[in-house]
Amino acid sequence: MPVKIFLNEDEIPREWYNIAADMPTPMQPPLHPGTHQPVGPEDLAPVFPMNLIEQEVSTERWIKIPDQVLDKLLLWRPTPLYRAVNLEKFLNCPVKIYYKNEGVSPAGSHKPNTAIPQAYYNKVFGVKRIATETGAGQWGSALSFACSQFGLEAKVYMVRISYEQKPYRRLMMNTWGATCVPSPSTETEAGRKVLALDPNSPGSLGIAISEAVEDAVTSEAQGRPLTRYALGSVLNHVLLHQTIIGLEAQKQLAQVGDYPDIVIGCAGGGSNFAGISFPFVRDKIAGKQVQIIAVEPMSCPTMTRGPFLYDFGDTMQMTPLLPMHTLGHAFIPAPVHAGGLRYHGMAPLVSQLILDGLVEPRAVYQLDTFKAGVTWARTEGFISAPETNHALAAVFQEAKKAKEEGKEKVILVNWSGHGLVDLAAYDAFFQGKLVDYEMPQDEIELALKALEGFPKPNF
Amino acid sequence: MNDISNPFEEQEMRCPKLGGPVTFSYCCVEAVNLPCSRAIRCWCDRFEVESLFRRKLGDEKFRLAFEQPQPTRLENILELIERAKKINSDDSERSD
Repeated sequence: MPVKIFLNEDEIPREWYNIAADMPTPMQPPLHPGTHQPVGPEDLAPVFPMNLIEQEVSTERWIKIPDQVLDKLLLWRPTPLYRAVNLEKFLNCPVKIYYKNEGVSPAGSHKPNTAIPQAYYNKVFGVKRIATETGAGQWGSALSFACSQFGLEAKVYMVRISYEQKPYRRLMMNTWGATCVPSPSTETEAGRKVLALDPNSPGSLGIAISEAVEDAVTSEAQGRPLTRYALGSVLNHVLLHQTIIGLEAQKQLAQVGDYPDIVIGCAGGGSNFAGISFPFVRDKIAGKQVQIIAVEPMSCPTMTRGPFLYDFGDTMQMTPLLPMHTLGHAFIPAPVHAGGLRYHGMAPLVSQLILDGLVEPRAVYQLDTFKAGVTWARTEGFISAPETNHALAAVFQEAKKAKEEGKEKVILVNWSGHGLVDLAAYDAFFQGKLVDYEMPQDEIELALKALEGFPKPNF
Repeated sequence: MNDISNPFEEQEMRCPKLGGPVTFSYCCVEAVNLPCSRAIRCWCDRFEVESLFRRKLGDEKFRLAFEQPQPTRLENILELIERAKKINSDDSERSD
């Protein structure tokens, strides 16, 4: 029984799979918030090169991976598919667990799978410089690596709170030659406005996006080299590039004569989940029996608790607002359904697949994710990124369920990245700083009483 | 809001937007001195966060923070493009 299943370099997939070609419910073009007309290529042209915009709107099933992109992907791809033999022994459940190790990329995660093609297409289009935002730095470091491979400048606006918390990611970006600045910065009008209001602003992803987009759109007018913007998740072309993960996994599983009963990935913006699962969703659409699970945190869920009516605000005309989590994910208010539900922050393609019943969302508790990650490290050896631990927690659940039901199952999970620069999160777990559950009611009441009479804030 | 001490402000959570740990006090000012629009969703299992925000913000700021439609990422980018284009045209007018 092999522990690692490899593909030769000449077996790397040469086309990405575009699920837009097979969606049971075709995606409608988004509307421009200003004109309320369908978004066209020219609307996106100030920030994306046209070759990527074409991918964004494409409904071609297979899209050729350029040779120059394959040459770079070969630095770490095809990634090994592992059989988690030690974990299987530990769990003692009737399951075979396979995991795709995306932590072997130079940046340590799946993100370079799209960073490389995005840098390539920008280069071909004549772009000299790419601006982006990053939160904790996973995307920023991946794009910095990719830009260095194609001789492009990279400018990364990193949310200040993370910039200060995560020096190693910033240093990775610097090592690959990128310029990384804390956001809000003084380099854009968006950043200066925020700093004028609050010089100590910790920043936010929204501010960093504003800065990166402004940087790209104003680059030529302000005498900078031709700059475009890049995004590491959510958009269709990003998910497309990630499908190489699942396509490789299909070939590797075929080598050992297996096919998964269950495919699991964690889902924040949806890109690594899409990467492992979309080729299997295609099979499912064609009639194959496969359960596909997108895993998110129990805190701040977007997919599992249904549309949270705050998300729709005035458009729903449903004030006073009520938390509607308890309605469950099957509940969709009619006006939202008609307009096309988009789970907040989640890729539209993944949102639609959930609504179509092809993908099952699941939420897991924070403590369970770290327990799973620690068990994984002590059996399989690899220390997982905290978001990857969400997928591992679901693997544990499914293994236990298989044992309870007495059924043999084959599980495939995307091990989307290592956690070697996220060890502070493990430290918090070991120190008991992470909590899952509600505070006791008497503590809540005491706390709220303490707030009475406080002055209203000045904004 | 961070000028007001509150009993929850040092509680930590992994921020789904940033991919790293943040305290509740960060969530209270994430949207430039307004709370993050996801703050109620994220913290409602821990404590009565909605009541807290209603008390601290008042109706108008509560509405601004939580009752505005949340654009998708693409809509957000499109809005930002328009805003940046305006910067270009304002700069151009100034230089004329």
